Amino acid sequence: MSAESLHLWLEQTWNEQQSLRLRLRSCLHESTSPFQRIAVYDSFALGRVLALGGTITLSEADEAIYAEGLVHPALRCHSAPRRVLIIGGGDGSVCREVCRYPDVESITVVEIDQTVTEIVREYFPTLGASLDDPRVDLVIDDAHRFLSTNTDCWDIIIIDADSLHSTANHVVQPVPIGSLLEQRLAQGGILVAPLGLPAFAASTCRDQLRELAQRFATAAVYQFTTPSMIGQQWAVAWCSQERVPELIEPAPACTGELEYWAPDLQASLFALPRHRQRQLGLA
Amino acid sequence: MSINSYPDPALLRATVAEHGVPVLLLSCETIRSQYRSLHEALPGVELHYALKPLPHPDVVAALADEGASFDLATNGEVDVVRAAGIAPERCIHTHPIKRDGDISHALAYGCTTFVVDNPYELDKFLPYRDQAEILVRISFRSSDAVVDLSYKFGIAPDQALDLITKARDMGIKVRGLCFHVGSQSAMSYKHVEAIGFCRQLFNLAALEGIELDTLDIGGGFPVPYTEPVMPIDDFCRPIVAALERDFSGTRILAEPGRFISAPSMTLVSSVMGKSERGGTMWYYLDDGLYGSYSGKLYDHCNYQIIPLKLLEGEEPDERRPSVIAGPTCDSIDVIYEGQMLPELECGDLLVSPMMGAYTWATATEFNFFPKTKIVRVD
Ligand SMILES: Cc1ncc(COP(=O)(O)O)c(C=O)c1O
Repeated sequence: MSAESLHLWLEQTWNEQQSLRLRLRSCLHESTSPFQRIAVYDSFALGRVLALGGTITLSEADEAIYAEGLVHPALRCHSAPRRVLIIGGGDGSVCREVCRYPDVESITVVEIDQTVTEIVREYFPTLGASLDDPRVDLVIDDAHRFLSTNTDCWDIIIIDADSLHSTANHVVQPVPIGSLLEQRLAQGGILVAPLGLPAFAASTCRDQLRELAQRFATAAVYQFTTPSMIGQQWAVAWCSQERVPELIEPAPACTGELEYWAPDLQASLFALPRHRQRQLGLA
Repeated sequence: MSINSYPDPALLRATVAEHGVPVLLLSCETIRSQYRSLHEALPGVELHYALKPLPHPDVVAALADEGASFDLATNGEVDVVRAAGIAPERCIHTHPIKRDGDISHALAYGCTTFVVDNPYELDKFLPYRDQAEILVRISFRSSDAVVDLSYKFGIAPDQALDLITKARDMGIKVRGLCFHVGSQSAMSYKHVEAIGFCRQLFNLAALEGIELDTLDIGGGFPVPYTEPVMPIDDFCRPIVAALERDFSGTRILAEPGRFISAPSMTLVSSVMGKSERGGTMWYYLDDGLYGSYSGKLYDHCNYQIIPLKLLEGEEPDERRPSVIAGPTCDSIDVIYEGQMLPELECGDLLVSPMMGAYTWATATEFNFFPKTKIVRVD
């Protein structure tokens, strides 16, 4: 029996009061890895979606917005981004955006769940292919542990997760993840860390921002929306000791056509409505 | 469950007439309904009734009939469930510290899941590694629970992975993790936090190639004594959400003791003697801190004590500050001071509801005052 006739829906819960339902055409894959439930569905509105632990982390409709939104606002502000670290990112979409920069020499992707990379290679082959770029080093590890046992430094660190907090491993790591990120950032480096969905969890966004603001000379916030997922307006922290989120001229080389980000968008991403400034403790 | 629900006074009088005082009235219907409400509040969670608060065969039988599982800690508890004909697969053994005879006794019964929280204890399982499976108990301190159960037991979270890998290297099977955030927790955020931490430990174990498949969230579910507590559905809702988020597909256990047993017993005691000392009335009951009220000391619990005649509607003319003491010769055996009570006579009956958990179970027979008899009323 097809999913259509079953009226299969996938519910995305924002908080205890609000959720969004997505009508599915079919289920392409469902499994449980040692870390989480992994599913790939074909949806009517968003095309193929990847759901981890029941939460959609990638959709054909929006993935370019999310990936471009995390990558270009940082890389275009760095004069020589050579070494890039992606925390999470086993789905390859953020990696694909970084791969557009020919001058980037190494891309380290730290993903905890190997299975995700395998599923993505099968169901989202163009994304999965980015992980095969010769510059990419795919590390299967807990991000917090990786950061605490590694002594390398990176020009750009991108957290590809729903929030900075969700990548922290409080159990075994005495040093807060924010502090490790600060230490692992090279001179002139930039950290990009999603704070979450401020419309639904303003206080957790604010708490994380406050922590970052104590560590970094600049901890600016920008927003972008993945519109097919109604309500998914992301707040992202852009942090650096030396740099500010202004575009560098000449722009680092970047190949291919972007769908979402463009230089003239940069300033507007960082312009926050008054209520958001207040919610995040910026006004 | 309101904090002011008492059994019918007529039933109390009739029971006393038949069995004498002091007496504990046990309601197995209450045991059943408590089990059901927790079962509904924690769908999909295997509830292992922790025998320790009330290791009574009738309670075990009623729960077995409801489909419950059991949490055992001693050979005596093993014997109670074995005598009740409980299948050993429905039992786990959760005492973190065991003698060889405790392990072999449980294994002989057929209970094969044990709790370990340190490497010395792990060594004891080397001879039994073909039969026994382990849950590693993690310590999460809670300032918020009335009884802190992570002080004495549980391994620090940052040492747990080493213990798990050591077990693997010894050929001992670790099934999963367990914790007990503390008994009579006011709110469930500690459970939720502990669940999140356990997810991270599951992940770290998986990175070592060790796939854990069981999480035991312990007990701690609160009941109202003298103060109202959060309704159990509200208490459990965040736990259910956290389990759904982090542990769907994992076998989940809980070890409720107090929530199931506390409301099931009502104590009726009587005034053995009275005295006026320094302007204060003293009433000496036939049950006290060495008996059923032992939970006041060990369990840090305050119980209500109400003269039966007030429950029957009598309106006292005046109330005086009074001391309620137990029957033994020890001065520590004072249950309450400064209670505003109407004048009581020798033989008057007093009623304490919510006396099912950590009361009779921890009573002593000091001075040869025997443990209070339990009479099943339904
Ligand atoms: C290991 C263990 N499990 C379960 C319980 C029962 O806890 P509660 O009565 O809070 O439900 C206890 C109480 O001491 C315990 O030590």
